[in-house]
Amino acid sequence: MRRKYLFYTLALLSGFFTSLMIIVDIWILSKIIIDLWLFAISVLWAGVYIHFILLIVLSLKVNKKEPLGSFLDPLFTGIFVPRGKIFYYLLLSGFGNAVSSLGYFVLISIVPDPSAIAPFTSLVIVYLMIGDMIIEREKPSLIEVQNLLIILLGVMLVSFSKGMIDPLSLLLVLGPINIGSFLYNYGQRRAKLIGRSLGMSDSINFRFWSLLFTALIFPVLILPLTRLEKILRGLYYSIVFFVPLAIDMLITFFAMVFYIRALGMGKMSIVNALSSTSVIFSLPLTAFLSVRFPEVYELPSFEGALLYLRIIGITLVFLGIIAIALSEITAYILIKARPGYISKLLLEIQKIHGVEWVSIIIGKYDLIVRVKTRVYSKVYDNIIRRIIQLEGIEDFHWISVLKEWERI
Amino acid sequence: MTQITAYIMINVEIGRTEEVFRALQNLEGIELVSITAGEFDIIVRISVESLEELFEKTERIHQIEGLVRTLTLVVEKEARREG
Repeated sequence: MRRKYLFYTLALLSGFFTSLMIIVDIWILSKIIIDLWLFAISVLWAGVYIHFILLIVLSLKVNKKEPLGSFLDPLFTGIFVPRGKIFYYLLLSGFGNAVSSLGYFVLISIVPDPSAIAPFTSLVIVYLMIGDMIIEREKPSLIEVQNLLIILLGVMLVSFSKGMIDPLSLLLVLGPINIGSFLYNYGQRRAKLIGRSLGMSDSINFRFWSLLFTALIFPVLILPLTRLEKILRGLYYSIVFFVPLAIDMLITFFAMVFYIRALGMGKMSIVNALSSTSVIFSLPLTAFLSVRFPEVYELPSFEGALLYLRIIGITLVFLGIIAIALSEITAYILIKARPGYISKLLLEIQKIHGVEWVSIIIGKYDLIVRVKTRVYSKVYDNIIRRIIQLEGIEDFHWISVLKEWERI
Repeated sequence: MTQITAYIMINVEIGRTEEVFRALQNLEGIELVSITAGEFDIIVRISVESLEELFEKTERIHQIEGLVRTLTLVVEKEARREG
């Protein structure tokens, strides 16, 4: 039972740290490095240095056994240099992150209200679902459209400030920020899929390398908007103001670590839902800070119906994400294979979207497959049709899971 | 340390599914208990360190009241899909 609380705490903390990062970003931008591009370049590069130091420290082995980093991510075995396809996917990830950072930095400079910005981070799930549908060429079902709309409308309500939604910030959020994070997530997932068998799939290395690529690509993106001299000065600032910038980036590192640890203990959709609700923390925190430091933070507006609108918004985001989790279908497929086809089927079935794991078993059946899909209407097209097309299948049984208990 | 994973497919007496479902959650080593519709009523995923331990665990499961039949399927090889 105690592990369950740890799971909830980790998921909530990851969201809380995301809000904290936005708060610190806005602080540095208005107190230490006031110029937007100088701040952007220097924070990214300071992030690279601090992550490199972390990577070295986490690679140290205690008692000649596991490296320190394996406490944070069990897949971590030490520093590696990405090669081949992993390199390209991490490069794509870095590019996505550079695009989304560009949008994010512009956003915090025009709306210095963390409680209005934090909710937008939960929108990435909408893009991930849409991305999945495009990649798998599937039509969205009514339930999926419904849940996506609930989240989208919720996010719009939470981010209401001064009685209106700033069109430029909404455009930034729907455009570069989330499309960038989608590319970032997509690259990470693909790299993870390929890296698993090579022992190169831990999130600590992934984080460092994609951040390095981000820091390299970002200056190229902003070059048309600024001068080369400013970029060089940003690099210089990343050393001069290393301490505050590094603290800022450490917060993002811990947000990620908590997220990964929570993912290892429970469903992704629940983790996302929990971390998205911690946006609630950013509201009182922002309100407090804006009273204490009115020159830095904007007071979130609570006048009239606005407070209610924001609370409705937070509830909608939470409901939408939970609904996505609950509408998920889990099932087992038991397969009898023709002699000689078992190993081949293992590899083929593993590639089918929605398959969680495949096991070769001894006994009455040859393979047991566990599948998860978002809605029932997609079971046939996405899974069954693909499995029965495979060569070597003699018979199969579909067993739907009605209720489940998992040790976490 | 070798790890053996197995599936235990269980059929229970009508009306006792929930009871068996709860009892299974208290056994150590059990990773996943699913109530299912189809050929079996409950599917259990279990992780043990040896075949002997698997035998002990299945013995304990057999002692749960309300069970009709079990079928143990030992995993030889496994592949997971991520992302």
